[in-house]
Amino acid sequence: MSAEPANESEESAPEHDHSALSKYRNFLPSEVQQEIWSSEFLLFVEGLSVSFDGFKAVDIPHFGIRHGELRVIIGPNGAGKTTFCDLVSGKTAASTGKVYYDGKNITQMDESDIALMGIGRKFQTPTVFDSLSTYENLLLALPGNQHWQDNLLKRESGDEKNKIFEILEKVNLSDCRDMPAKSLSHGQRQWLAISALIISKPKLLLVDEPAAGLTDQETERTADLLMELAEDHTLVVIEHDMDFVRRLGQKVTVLNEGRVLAEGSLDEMETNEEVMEAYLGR
Amino acid sequence: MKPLAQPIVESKQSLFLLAMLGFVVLPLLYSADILTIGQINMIGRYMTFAILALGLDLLWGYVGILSLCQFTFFCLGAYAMGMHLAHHGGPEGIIDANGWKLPACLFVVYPYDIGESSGDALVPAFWKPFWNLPLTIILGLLIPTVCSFVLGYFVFRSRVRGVYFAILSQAIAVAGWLVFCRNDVKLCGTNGLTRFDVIAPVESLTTFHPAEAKDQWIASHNADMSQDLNADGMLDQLDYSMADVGFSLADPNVQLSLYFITLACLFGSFFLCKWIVNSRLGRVLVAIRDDEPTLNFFGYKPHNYKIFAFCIAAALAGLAGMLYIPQMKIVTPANMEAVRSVLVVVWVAVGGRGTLRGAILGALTVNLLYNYLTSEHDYGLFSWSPDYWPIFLGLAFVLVVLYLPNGLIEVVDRAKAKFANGLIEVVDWAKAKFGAYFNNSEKG
Repeated sequence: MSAEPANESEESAPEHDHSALSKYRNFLPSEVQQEIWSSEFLLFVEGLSVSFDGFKAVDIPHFGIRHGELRVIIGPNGAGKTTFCDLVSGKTAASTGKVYYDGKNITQMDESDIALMGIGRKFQTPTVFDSLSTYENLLLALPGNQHWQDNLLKRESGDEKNKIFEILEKVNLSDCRDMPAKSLSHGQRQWLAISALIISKPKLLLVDEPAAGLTDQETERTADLLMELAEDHTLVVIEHDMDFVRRLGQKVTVLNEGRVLAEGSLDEMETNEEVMEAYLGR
Repeated sequence: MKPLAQPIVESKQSLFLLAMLGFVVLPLLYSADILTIGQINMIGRYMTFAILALGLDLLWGYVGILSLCQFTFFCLGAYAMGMHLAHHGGPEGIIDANGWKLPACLFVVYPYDIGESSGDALVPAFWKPFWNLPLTIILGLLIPTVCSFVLGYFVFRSRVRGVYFAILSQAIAVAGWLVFCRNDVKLCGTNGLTRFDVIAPVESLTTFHPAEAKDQWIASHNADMSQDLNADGMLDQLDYSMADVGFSLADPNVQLSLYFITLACLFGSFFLCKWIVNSRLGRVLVAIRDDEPTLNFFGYKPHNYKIFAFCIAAALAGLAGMLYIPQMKIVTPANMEAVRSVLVVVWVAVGGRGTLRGAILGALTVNLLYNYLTSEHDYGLFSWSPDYWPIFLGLAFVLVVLYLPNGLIEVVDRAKAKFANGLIEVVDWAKAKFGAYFNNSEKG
C-alpha cells in the first residue's frame, strides 16, 4: 500500500485505488470510535467483497458517502455498480467485509429492515406494482405503515393523501392517478418509481440508472428532480449516460471490475488515462 | 385481470337480490313443495364449498399463492364438528371405562392393542374437548388456522414461492389424507365419522364432560338418588347422552335452519374478504402478487402478509367444513384426497379469479352442474351418462381459460351492464315519448 499522502497526485500513484481512498483511512469504523466516522459519513463500506462462483464482482477496501452528498457512480458494463447497490440494500449477502450505515453495522440485516432504517432503492428497470393504480403505488410507499396490523385497520390520513397528490403533481402524473400502473409509459413508470422512492422519505437513496430508456426531455426533468432531491437527501446515483452525469455536475466515482478506480469531478475523470482505458479498452 | 385495478365496487342491488334469492325465494319454493328438503340441503352444502372457494380466491386471486391443500383445512374443521356430532350421536356404541360414550363409528373400527378386548376400548383424549359445542366451534376454526400458521411460518419465511409452494401444498394434502386414512390415529380410518343424531343438545352447550351432563340432568329433574334411577332404563339413555335431546339432524326444519346459518356465514365470509381486500392490506396483497421482491425494499415483510392471508383462508375452510358436516352427515378421508383441493382451484378459475364474487359463482355453478350431470338423462336422440362428467368438466375448464380469462363473472357483469343500459334506454325512450304529456299533465 502506498504511504504517500492522498492529495499528492492521483494519476502518478502506482496503486491508484488505494491512494484515491486514503483519505478514508482516519475513519475506518473498525479502528476508530463510531461517533467520529458516523459524524462524517452516512454510509461506509469496509473490505466489502462478493464473489459469484469465484468471480469477484465487487472488491472495495473502503468507500464512504458523506452526509448530504450526491455521488455518481459510473463504470463500464459489469463493473459491479448494481452489485454494490445490492450489497448495501441487502439484496445480496456480502462474502467478506462490512457495511455501516448511520452508525450501525447493517451487513447481516435483511432488505426490509434496511429499508426501514432509511435506505431507499430504485432499480434499473422501474419496479412498480402493475395491477395497482398510480395512487395506490404511492400509498404503499408511504413510511410508517409497513406492518400488517397497521395496514388492516388504518386508512390514509388527509395529510398523507395531500402528500401523494403533491408529488403526483410534481412528476406530471396527476391525470393518471387512478390508472393501473401497467398502462403507464416507460418514462411515467420511471417517475412513478422515483416518486415512490421520494415519498418513502429515506435518508439515503440508491438510484440505479434513472435515465435509462428516457427521452432527452424526460432525462432533463429527471436530472432536475434528482438535483432537487439532493438538497435534503443523500444520494447515490448510478448512471451510464455521460450527458446526464455532466448535468448533475457532482463528484464521480469510477468502478471497474469491482474496484474503485478513481474519484473526482467528471472532467478529471475524462483526462484520467486509467479511466479512459477501462472505458475504451486497450 | 381488470377488476383488480380498481377497488371492487359491488352494486348494492345485486347483493340485495342475491340475499333475497337465498333467504326468501328458495325457502318459499321449498314451502311451496317445488324444492325438496334434499335440494335445499344440497344447496346448503354447495354454499359451504363457496366459503371454501372464497378463501382460496383471497389466497390465489389476490396474493398469487396457489394452495392445493384447502380441502385438508376444510376436513380439519369437518372432523372437529364430526367428533362433536359423534359424541352426541346415535344410541349405538358402548360406555367406556371412564364413563365416556365411545361412538359407534369409532367402536366398530377401534384399533385394539394385542390382548385388548372390546371392553378395553377408550375414548381417546383428543376427542374429549369436542364434547362441548362452543369449544368445538372455536377449535374447528383454530386448528386449521394454527396448522396453516405453522406451515406458512416456515414455508413463506424461507421464501418458497409460486409453483414450489403449490407442489408442497399438494404434498401436504396427500400426507394429510394418508394420516386420516390410518385406523390407529383413532379417527375411524377410511370409514370416516358418521352415525350422527342430534346437533346442539343442551348438555353440549353447558358441560364439558358426560359425568357433568349426568349430574346436571339429575339436578334438573329432581331425581331421587335413593331410588334405582335405572329401573326404567332412563339412565342408560342418559349415558348415551340423550339427557336433553337437541335438534335432530333428520328433521327438515333443522336442515332448513342449517341452510340459513350457512347462507349467513357465506355472506359474513364474503364481507370479511371484501373488507380485507378493500383495506390498505388488500393493496399490499396485490402488490405481493405483482412483485414480491420489490416490496421488501419498501420495508414490508411480505411473508407476514402471506401468513395472514393463508390463515384467513384456512379459517374459512375450517368454518366451511364445520357447516358441511351436519348437512352431509358423514365425513371420510375421501374429502381430503389431493384431487379435491385441485377442484377448488377449478371452481375459482371458472367463476373468475380475484373477484370474490366469481369464487362463489364458480363453486355454486360447477357443483350444481356436477349434481345435475352425474345422473342419467335421456334427451331422446342423446342420452347423458354420468361417465361424461370428467370430460365435460375438463372441456368447460379449458373453454373458460381460453375464452373467458376473467371467468363466468365477466359474463354476468356484461349481462348486468347490458340490462342496465337497456333500462336506461327504455327510460329515455319513455321520457321522449311521454315527457311532453307528463309535463302537460303536471301543469294541468
